Amino acid sequence: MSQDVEHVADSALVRAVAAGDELALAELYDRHAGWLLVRLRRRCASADIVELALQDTFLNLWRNAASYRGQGEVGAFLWGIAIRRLIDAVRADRRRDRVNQLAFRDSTADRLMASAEDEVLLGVAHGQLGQALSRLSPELRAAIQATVLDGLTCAEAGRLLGVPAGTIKSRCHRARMELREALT
Amino acid sequence: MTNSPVDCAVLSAAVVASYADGRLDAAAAWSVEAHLPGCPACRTALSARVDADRLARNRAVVLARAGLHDPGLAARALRRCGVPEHIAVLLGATPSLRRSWLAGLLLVLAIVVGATQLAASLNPAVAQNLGGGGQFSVVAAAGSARWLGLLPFFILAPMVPLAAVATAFSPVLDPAYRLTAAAPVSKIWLLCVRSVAVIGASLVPAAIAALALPGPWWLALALLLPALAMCASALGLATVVPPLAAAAGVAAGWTAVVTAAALAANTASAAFGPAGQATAAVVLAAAITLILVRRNKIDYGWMG
Repeated sequence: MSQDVEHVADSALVRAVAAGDELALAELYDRHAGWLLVRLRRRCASADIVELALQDTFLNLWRNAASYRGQGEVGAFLWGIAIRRLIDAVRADRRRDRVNQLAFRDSTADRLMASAEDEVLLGVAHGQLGQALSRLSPELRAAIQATVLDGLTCAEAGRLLGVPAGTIKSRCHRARMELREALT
Repeated sequence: MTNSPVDCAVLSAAVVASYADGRLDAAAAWSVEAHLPGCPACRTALSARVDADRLARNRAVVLARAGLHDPGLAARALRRCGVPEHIAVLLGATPSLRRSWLAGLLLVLAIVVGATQLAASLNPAVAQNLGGGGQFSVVAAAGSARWLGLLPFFILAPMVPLAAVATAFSPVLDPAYRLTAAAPVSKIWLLCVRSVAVIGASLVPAAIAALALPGPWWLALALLLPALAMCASALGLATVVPPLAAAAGVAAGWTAVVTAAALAANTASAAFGPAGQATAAVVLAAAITLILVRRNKIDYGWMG
């Protein structure tokens, strides 16, 4: 693994990590830590908690790399670990001080005012779905994001957002209803 | 940061940049996030926009923690008692808090106590020499060579915490050396946490050993101040000279003082009398002052 580690596929690196190769762990970190950090940062306002979750992600990989079955994108596999480490870090922090310093980083306020220039630059299709999504309340959108985009269960999403699993379930239900209404 | 060209047919560099800066609305951000796990080009472009220092710092911590293998029994127990993870790992990795070190310490103390007990049972004068009736020094009735057998205990027992502190600072022995070097905490705080834990853990067996001796009960307490004074002196001196030299110097000085006092008073416990305790208190205060004054110079091996 030591000879040009840069040209080794991600999946091979994960297998090497499972065999205890520290170089492979370092290389995976270099490839994935950056984008994982950005994506985690969008889900938690505290930079400290995000960094702890990032560290825990790669330590979890170091100890449990054998659980990677070799199918699917390594990127998606790592994100699955990362979002759950973030949940753990957020929960530990809530336990430490009951003051909930974490607000789910909501996008609406600044996001809705994205400049016209940005809209053009983006070039992302802003069809009905985009409009419908941005019209959802932040709570409903967060519930949808956690369950659909991050692939969390209702219980996990509840832990991340600090509400009971049942609340997530009902919020997802309401969000689906609103989306359907907006799109038909 | 400039927009590096993204080798991706789906997303433009501008979109990736907007996502990194948090300027995308929910729908667009979701599209980016759904695309990211499968697109190395976009991931690389995004990673290039993250603060490199931040990534490097966390990388060092990850690799150091990965090298630690097992946090150990003590660290897990501490964590369950509500001690924050980073402190638990720090303490669990302290060389002089590990099981092997504590086991060695117990063995040494057991041998010293056993030898003293044996000497006492063979020769009642030795027991008498340890000090009876609450007096701080008892002059041996006869045969001044007999009390020499006790001297090793009086020299060694208070040095146990000193040895623990010295090994706690050795980068060679510390598996968490790289972790500690990268930890974003103040050095004086790190010093306090580790020293208090180490001194506490080594004072207990030393005190028990003193109680097991055929002497008065206050012997265990009499060890306390000199032991603390030596630890503080070593830590204070380590801000001036290399840590190992500081510890060795303090140990040599202690041995000389105890031996000289014992020879002068003709009793092994001479250095533990009122005068000795007062001196130890003064040295302790001076050493703590030195540490506080020179706290910016604290740079032990394991602190990087």
